[in-house]
Amino acid sequence: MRQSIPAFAARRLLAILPVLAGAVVFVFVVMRLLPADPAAFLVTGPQGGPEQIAALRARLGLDRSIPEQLARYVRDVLSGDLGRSLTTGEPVLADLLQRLPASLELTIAAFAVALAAGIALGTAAAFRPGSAVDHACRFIATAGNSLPGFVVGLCLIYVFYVRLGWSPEPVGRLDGLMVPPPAVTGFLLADSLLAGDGAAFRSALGHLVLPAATMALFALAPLARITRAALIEVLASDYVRTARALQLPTRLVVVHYALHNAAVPIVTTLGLIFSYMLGANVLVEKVFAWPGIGSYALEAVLSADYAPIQGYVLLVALSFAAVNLLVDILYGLLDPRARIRP
Amino acid sequence: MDRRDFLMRGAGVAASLGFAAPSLAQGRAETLRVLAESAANSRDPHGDGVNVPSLGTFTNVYDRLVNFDRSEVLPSVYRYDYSRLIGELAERFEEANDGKSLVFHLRRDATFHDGRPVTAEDVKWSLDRAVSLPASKRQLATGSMTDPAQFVAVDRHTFRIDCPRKDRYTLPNLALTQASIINAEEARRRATAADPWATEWLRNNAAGGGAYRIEGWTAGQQIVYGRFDQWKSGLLPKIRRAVLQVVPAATARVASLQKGDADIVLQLPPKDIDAIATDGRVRVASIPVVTSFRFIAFNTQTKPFDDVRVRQAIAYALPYQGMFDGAVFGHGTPLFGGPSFTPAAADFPQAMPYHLSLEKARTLLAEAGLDQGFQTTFSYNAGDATIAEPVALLVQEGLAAIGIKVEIEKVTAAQWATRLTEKKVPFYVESSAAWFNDPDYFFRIFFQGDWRWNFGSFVNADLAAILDKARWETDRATYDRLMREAIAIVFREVPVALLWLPSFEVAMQPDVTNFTYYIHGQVDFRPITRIA
Amino acid sequence: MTRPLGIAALLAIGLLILLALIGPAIVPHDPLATRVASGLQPPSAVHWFGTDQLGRDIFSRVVVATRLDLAIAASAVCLSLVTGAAIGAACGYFGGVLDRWAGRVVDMLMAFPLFVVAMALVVALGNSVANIVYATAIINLPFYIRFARAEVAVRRDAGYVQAARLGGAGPWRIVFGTLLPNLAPSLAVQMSLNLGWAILNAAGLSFIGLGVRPPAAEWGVLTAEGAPFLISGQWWVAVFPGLALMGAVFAFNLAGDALRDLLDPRRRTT
Repeated sequence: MRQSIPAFAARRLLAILPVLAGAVVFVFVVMRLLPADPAAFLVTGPQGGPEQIAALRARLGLDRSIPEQLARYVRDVLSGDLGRSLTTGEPVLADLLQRLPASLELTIAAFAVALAAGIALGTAAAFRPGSAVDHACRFIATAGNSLPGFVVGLCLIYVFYVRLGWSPEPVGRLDGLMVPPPAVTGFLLADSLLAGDGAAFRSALGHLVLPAATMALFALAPLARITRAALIEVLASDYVRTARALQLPTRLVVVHYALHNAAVPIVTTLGLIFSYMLGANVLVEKVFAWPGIGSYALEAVLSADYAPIQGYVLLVALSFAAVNLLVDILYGLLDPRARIRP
Repeated sequence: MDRRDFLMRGAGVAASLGFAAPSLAQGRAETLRVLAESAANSRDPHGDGVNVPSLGTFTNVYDRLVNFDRSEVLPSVYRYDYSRLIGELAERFEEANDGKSLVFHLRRDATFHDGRPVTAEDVKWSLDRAVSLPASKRQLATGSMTDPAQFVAVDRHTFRIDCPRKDRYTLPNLALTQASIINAEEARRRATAADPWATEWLRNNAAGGGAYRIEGWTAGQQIVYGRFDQWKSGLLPKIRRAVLQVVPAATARVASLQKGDADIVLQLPPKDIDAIATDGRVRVASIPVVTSFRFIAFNTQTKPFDDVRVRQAIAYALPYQGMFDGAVFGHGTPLFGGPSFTPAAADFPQAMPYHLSLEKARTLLAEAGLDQGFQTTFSYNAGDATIAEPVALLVQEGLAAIGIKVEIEKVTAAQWATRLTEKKVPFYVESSAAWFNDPDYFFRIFFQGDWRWNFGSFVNADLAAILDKARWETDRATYDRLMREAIAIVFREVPVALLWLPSFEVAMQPDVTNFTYYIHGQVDFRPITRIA
Repeated sequence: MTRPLGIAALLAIGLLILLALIGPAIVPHDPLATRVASGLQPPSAVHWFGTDQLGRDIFSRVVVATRLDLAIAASAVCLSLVTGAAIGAACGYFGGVLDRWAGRVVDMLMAFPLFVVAMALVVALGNSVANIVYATAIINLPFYIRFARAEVAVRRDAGYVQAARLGGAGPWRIVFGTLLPNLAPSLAVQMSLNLGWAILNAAGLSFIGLGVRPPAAEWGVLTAEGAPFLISGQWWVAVFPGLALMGAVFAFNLAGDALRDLLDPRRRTT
């Protein structure tokens, strides 16, 4: 039975609900395993005694039983309240929404760079498999995949900021004393363009380059690999051989036939990689003081701040589901067979 | 929530947290950019769960009745002077009723940020609130302030505090951020029956009359302060706008400072301070924090550390100089190798009379019946790793020489607090500081009581008796004699082995002058000037 | 043809294994001995890779770390491989309710920001070597389950499985005796690729202070602790362990790639 795209999307959406529910409960339980008392952590000096810890525990609801805490948490989440962060003092939902565009902007930029470079490397390799070009491509991609992100980030800062001075201060998304453009989308690149603020755009772009390059390096290898494999398969197929035999221009063969047909497996991998990057940018955000959700979660884990971690995982799971859905829809568009119910 | 709704909500939040658009770009001489490891999490000076950076916010955004005066310790760098208090909101103040009462005469021209004049009623409400909320209550109690009935608004501009007896800690307490003065009328409007002190509202909103207003607050990332031009409690500050930005990585803070992108940088490890100091492009100030100490603590209630000989043996086996050089690169003041077990001075912390002497250590251990050594765990806080980890490694190596086998345990910052509170760590390295300089105050916090800050879980009846006497002793000579006795007990009993006195260190651009250090170690923007 | 890179990678892995075995016996200095007075010295004839903050010899520490790093990576990968393959194969073979539920759980795990979960686990359980191994293993698990499930589902009705069935083998024997051995080569590829990833993961944990406990030497911890010295000019503290780490991960990745090409006829390139 063939389904329409919306029906297909709806069915997929329903399927992710248990995933989200599972995520909420799982993280809640893991957090309660932490042998740390957020109240004790927050009482930072001798001016706070046991009474203050007790009062704080009561305010945070930590004095209740775990099932009761879970029930209250689920009730709050359903009503859109993700709790309050102890480290920032703000509601978690507001924090996350305020920081999400920063993470998305970084991830999308890194993803775009990785995609362009990965497809270029993969294509170059696929046309001459086994050649020196192929080996060089593989070498570059694998090398990028072999260094911890924080090392790459620190090295880039050292070279391009400290030594050469080409890059702006590796702190945040804009120059320290610059007025951010009015927030419309939360994406500084888009907002500065909307506001016609050239200086802010340049600053935002400048701040984006190093962290995006750091992240892109990591995603390069899988992208190059999948492109290469898919292309080799397609290039060996009958229709490409036919097109080549008909002496159609190489460009046309590559772009129109080969890449188009290789798109299905590439898109699937892309979705996975994008979701992975969104969750894995924690360390890059820390190194570049990037005000995204990753650095937020990192701080929260280290200070036993439950609510932000729970909110973060929920948000990433949601984004993962959204990306998956997008991939499935793209997949359905690219290959109508996928919409047939098994 | 669909995508559009989601984006719009995001934008709404961002806009509400955003800045008033005009002019961050003022003259460099009137702006200041500070980079720190973390940012304030509250605007409520009596709030619970308030972190240390918040104390900087309170200092700049609220006024207090009095403030510590300051004295120059390095060229154009100052530190607060604990012994001298000056009026802030109070134009002048005096003792009354044999010193049992303090009378404050408020400035008549002072207003809150909303333009409303500051009155004695606001002061009373603020202090009532301070002694009623758990987070500030305990601190003010150290200055005999416990009950709202003690606070009297005599008239619109006169305020009185009545204490059961004359207490030397009352005034200094009023200079702490816990005694900040809040705009009572505004706060009361936000109070509810369930929340009479408006704690929910004040956590996210400032209602003060201090020299700066909060113009932008992006939680955990950045705070923008703008000068309150009608501020009357002191000379109008030179800095019109100050931005505090969070940069978690110390290396990034150093790089920004060296490239001239940051003006003041806080919380740098000693290693980076050295690197900056030799580089010469920026200025470094290092101020000993005389109320603080870095130490190795024993849980004196558990075996084998309940035996004083074991503690002394370890105190003789620690490679002090190596730790001091290897962990903090000599930044600080040594608190080891002191001359005598009978202290000559009455101040504390002062150097303990222990030094590396393996022979003495072995003898003491043998006397304790442990000449074969023993096994133990040495813990430190992962959040403190830059300093604590080298210390731990050197402790491990040093104690191996007297047969004590040490396993190192690194505890995450979040767990650390819990473990110390529950007294579950037998042997560890830590540092701490008290608000006030008097040794009896210091001893009461750190060497008695069933709480986290009694790091050695020390119980000693003689010490308790001495501290009770010293609390109200007004004769200087008697007080000093009592405290010398107390210090001798700690020297002998070693509930903790002192290592060194940490220094507060800050790095800044050479044109930043008049930096003033306060015990909380945050930046007070008010006195700072920049050479144009 | 992938031979040159592949062979180089295999040689490098051989060298790593050799170092892991005999490293502690051949290092010139005691990797734990401190000498504060000679801290932070640049590379020299005595200290080939220089010394760290406490004057420990970095060369010796890097060499000695090989054993711990390989042990962490290998045990984490084996743990997730064994459990993941068993669960996945069972799901793929039996299908039905078990498969549906296991699929849901795996989906859930895949949707997690795995690094943050690993962090939380290490914070919760404590940063011992065993817990770092568990955290790394758990976040690898979903990949193996998926992989084994898909491969088994494809081969469930293959000729040799049918033959085994007709020969009277029970389902467990078919899964573990017939199907899994047939998957071994492709699992080996996954394993090789994952070894590198496990080392990187441990390094990431070290960077945020959740690495193995001192005084043990591990490349990630050495690199992470040396990283702050980069900016102040003592590059050798981080660079040498970083190179060792990169070399090892690189070798595992290349070897995995080469193996994949050897085993997968479709993607074979010559």
